[in-house]
Amino acid sequence: MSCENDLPLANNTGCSCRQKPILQVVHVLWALSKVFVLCFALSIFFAYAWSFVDWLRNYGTAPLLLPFMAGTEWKPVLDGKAYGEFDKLVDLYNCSFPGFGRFGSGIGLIAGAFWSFSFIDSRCWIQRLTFGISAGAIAGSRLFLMFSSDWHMFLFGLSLGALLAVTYVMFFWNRFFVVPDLPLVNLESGEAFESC
Amino acid sequence: MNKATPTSNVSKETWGPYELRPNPAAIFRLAIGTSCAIATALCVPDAFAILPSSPDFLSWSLRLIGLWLSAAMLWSVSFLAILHLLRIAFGGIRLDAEGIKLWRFAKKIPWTAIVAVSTVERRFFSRLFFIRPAAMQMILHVRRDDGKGVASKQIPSFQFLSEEFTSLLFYVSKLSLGIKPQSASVCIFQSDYRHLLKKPFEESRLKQVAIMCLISFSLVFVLAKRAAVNYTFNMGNKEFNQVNYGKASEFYEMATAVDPAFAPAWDRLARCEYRLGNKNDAVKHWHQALLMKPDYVESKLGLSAFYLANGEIDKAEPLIKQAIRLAPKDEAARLNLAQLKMLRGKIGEAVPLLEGLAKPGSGREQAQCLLAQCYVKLGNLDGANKILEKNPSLLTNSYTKRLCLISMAQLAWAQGRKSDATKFLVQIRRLPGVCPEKELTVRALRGDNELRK
Repeated sequence: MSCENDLPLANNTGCSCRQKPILQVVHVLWALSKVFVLCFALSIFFAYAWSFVDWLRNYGTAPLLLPFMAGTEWKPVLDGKAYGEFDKLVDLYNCSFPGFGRFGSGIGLIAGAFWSFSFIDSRCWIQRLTFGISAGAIAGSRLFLMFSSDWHMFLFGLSLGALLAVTYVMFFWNRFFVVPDLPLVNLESGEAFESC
Repeated sequence: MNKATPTSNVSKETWGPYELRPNPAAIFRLAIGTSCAIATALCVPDAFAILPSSPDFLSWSLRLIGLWLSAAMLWSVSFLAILHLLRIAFGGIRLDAEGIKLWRFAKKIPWTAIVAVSTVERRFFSRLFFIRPAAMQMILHVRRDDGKGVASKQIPSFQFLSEEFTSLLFYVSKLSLGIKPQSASVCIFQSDYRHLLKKPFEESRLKQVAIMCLISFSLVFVLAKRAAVNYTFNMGNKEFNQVNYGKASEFYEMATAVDPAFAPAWDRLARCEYRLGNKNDAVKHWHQALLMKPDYVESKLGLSAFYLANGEIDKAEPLIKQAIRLAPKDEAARLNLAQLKMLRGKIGEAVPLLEGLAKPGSGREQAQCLLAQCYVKLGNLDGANKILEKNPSLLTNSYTKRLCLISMAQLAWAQGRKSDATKFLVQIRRLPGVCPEKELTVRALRGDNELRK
């Protein structure tokens, strides 16, 4: 998924998706799939790893509590009040990752969100925007879930994370990559230095 | 990464600018390498701290492996995150025809100000943190602005790949001193400044010794602190399990004095105080635990049990709901929820919860007693009778004795055996100590005028 360069560098011609709207859709889907696959995979991995590690740490005193063990066996019934879809999402997450698996999955989600930034094609604005919104929302909402499972906090964390990440990738990201990388050189031949 | 592209038509005056950013692969390697050493160091005090709570060698060794793995995972992930944030904030090393900037907001060092370039291999550091090839440090000796003496600037190699670091060395040496280094280990200097180089070298060495001392002292202090906290906490747990709440609370107080941010110690201290009848301190310390760790389920449950026992249902409800949402499978949380529903008069909703908890062999005697009470209230006297008759251990267990007696009193009352009910109630009131179940059930019976008389 290569894009042409829209950085303030020489040969800056912008991403090809600017001329072809259909490509923008492809880029959005591509970016979303990268973020979600990475976050999901890391979340599952860390949740299982942390559950196992916690079982080892408390060997003999606590049973092994793996993610998704609760399944549909029991769901919290909180006086039948309607808490909204976000509330159900938080409940589903907490039910899926019981015990220390919840902490592990949190690490995985946040690590995945941050890691996904390294896959941004910085020349394409639509990819930067998608990465910023999705990864920022995931990291922000999960960070706030560390303090409370309240859906208001969850929503606030989600919005704040997305806003900060979008601001960063849209306004500051490219400023960090304006200068080209230092050319590599072989010490014995000193090949590249002849350019000085 | 750009490859070397010789362009002989470009003059030295227009060379660059180029940037050498910290390499993600090198940062990852450093995070993984350091995690092994750090996790091992952190596990040394834990090895002693878990001794009181480990019944045999197998448990001790498995717990130690678990602790090592958790420390290694946490360190590598968090250190990686910190390094990446620093990488974003400080940027890379910028070089152009005029000079070099060591980080984003640093002052540019003109090539003409650099009087010597040297590299030092950090073998101990590399061995300690499993860095291959060995880490190096490039030292730039820069003439001071006032012309008096030379200052040194360090560039560590562990944030770059080997070929990136040697390339940097090559460019710096060539652009500042006009010499092409033939290997990564060099010491190049202008002969005029030879006499001035001794002092910065010594200063650099002293600085390293000071940093090593600081790190060692901090490490020993942190590790000793951890060992003290974990050891006293585990000793407290041992006493707690043997129902020596007074002695246990002393250990927990020590643990909280050493590390005031250790939420489990605050929680356990509150539990001891509650069982000893010191309710005000218990509530204060449960709140303290929640202040240190807002999503700590145990403290939410302890505090909610206190409020339930006091009949402050409105205060207990949000805590129980939060605990349930954080740990939906937690049996204590579900038990508290069932108690809450019973107090709210929603017996029908409490029964399925309690039936799930009171399965044979589950070891949840409290749930069995509460289920018997629910059955009495629903008129299912046979069901209640079965539970209480089939579980004689309920009366021998000191923790569930009160609850069992009150269930039996309620059953006897419902069956018309008023003298038996009164007998059970008298037994309950003679029991020593404070516990939520006793207060809860006595409160439940208060609604019965005849029994109260």
